[in-house]
Amino acid sequence: MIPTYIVDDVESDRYIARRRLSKTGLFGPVQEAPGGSEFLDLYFAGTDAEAPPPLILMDINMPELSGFETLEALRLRLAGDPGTGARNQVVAVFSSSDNERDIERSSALGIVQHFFTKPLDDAAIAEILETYRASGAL
Amino acid sequence: MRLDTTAGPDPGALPGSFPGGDLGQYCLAVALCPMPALLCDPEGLILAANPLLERMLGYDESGLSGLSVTALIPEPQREGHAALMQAFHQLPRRRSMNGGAEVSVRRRDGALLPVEVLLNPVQVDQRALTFTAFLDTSARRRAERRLRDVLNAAATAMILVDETGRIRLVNAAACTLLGGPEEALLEHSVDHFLPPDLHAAHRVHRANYHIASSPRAMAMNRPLKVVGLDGVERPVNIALRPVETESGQRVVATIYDLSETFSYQQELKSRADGLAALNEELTQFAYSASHDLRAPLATISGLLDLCLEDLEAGDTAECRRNIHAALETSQRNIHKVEAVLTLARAGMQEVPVERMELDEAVAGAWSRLTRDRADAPGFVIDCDGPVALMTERRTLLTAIENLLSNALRFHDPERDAPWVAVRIRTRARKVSICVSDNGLGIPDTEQPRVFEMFRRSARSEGHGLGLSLVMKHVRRLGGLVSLSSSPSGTDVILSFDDMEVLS
Repeated sequence: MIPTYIVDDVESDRYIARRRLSKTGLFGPVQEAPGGSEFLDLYFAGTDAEAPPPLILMDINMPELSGFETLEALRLRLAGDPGTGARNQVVAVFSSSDNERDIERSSALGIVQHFFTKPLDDAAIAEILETYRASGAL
Repeated sequence: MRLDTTAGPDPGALPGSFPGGDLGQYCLAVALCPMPALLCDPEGLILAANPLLERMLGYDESGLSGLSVTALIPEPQREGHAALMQAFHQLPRRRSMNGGAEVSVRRRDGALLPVEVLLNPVQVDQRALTFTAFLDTSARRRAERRLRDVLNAAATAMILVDETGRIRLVNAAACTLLGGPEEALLEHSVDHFLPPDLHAAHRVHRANYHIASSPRAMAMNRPLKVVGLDGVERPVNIALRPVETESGQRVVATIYDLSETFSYQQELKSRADGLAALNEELTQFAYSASHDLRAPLATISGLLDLCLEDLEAGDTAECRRNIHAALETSQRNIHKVEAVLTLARAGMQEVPVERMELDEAVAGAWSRLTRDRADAPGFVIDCDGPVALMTERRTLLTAIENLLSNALRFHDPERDAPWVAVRIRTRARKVSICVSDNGLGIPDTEQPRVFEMFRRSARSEGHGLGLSLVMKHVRRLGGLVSLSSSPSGTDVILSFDDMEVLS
């Protein structure tokens, strides 16, 4: 099972993501955070070393810490922490807009593998699973 | 303005000495002298005058002989003239009257004529006589006046500088540029009008220029600064041109005032900056709109997809729940679109300028906002002067309402005595309105961004448009918004530098 974090300030969007993930039966535990700070607290609270690399579904537009700011903070903390730094993760940004600027900024972060526009659908989840299979993690 | 005549060859000079002889010969010399002249005794009695002088002063032939020189002296100077004459005879030597400067001679009809006077002591039959020649300078004066008129008609400042750096001539534009009247400017060296740190260097540059002078721009056309007698510093370009005069080499400096050019450039730059800011605002708007207006539609679409799946699976309870969520999202979005339209329209419509009793308007806004709330924070309005304004009442009120609504929304429920205060200060045309609260405050990291469109607090259900609207409205009224916030509360200050306050 893939440990998953859904980070979005809109409750309905978290619900949609959760439903899409649960259909496959491959994701769990699924944890939700309504903002970047809450996510970072959750993420560094402790992990299951035996589990495959976690999936992070990250919204861009959120009050206070944006998705970009949250991922930048995540990158810095991972770089400064050899324990968690060794751990891989799959980051998928999902946004309501396919603005070029956002796509470029996502890829510039260096830790984002996927960019999806909302609403999250089964095809997006299939694409994420493909990454896991290709890397042999699943 | 006076042209310099103190140095150089004296056009009125007479030969150094006369051959010896009696009075008759001297009188003949006076008669033959090619310029107006007279001979007088130590008491000032005119012994002979030539026809040129008689004509110049409007006398008949021989009309001056036998008169006292006092007749030729303007009345105000007559009293002192005897003493001057006495002084001359104590040390008689050839010299120009009044140090070569212009004096006035009185014509028979009382009119005054500008002249230079050359005095030459001669011994005739043991009497110390004075041979006096006159140079009519009125023609030169007219020429000077014409030159001055021409120079003064020029819009460009011009000064004439001698080899010692002294200013010898200035035109009207130079007086304006250098911040002083002509007499005051002529007292100074040209160095005086440069910034103090350049005085010494300029003395050297100036001396070098006199050695090898050619028409050229000063400082390789780089903008220079002059400091006027009024202390005002102005950016200028200066062009130099050497001129030969009877009194030696002079330099004409033409000074171009660049203040207007500079301020025009600055205005252009500030307009360009304004346009760039507007462009950035539009880009930001398009970006935010693409995110924030699409977001609810994406949510609704995602929810409806799930509804279909739930229906097919026969899970009507889940389906109903999702339809409600989609409905709620769409309804919320209707308000959001309305708020965006309000923001977009702000600044486009004519809003009437009306009288506004600020304290009453604020109190009214607060009571509308808190009408249905039992737990409203304490509210106080503090004014220190007149509070009646002439302004776009609706625009200002909307801004204040938004601030009050924020103060109300973000009050700290943990606090025993929550309050909101509005402080109004008016000084002449300056108005400041401070909306304060002891609420939750805005985190430091969030403060620089709170005025961005769609920027909202995680603690709020708002659309993130209120403070954007406040900013837009206050700017429309020519004011500024400043914010300071800490965990113990928030102050938002609207300040207007030029608003009509009615007393």
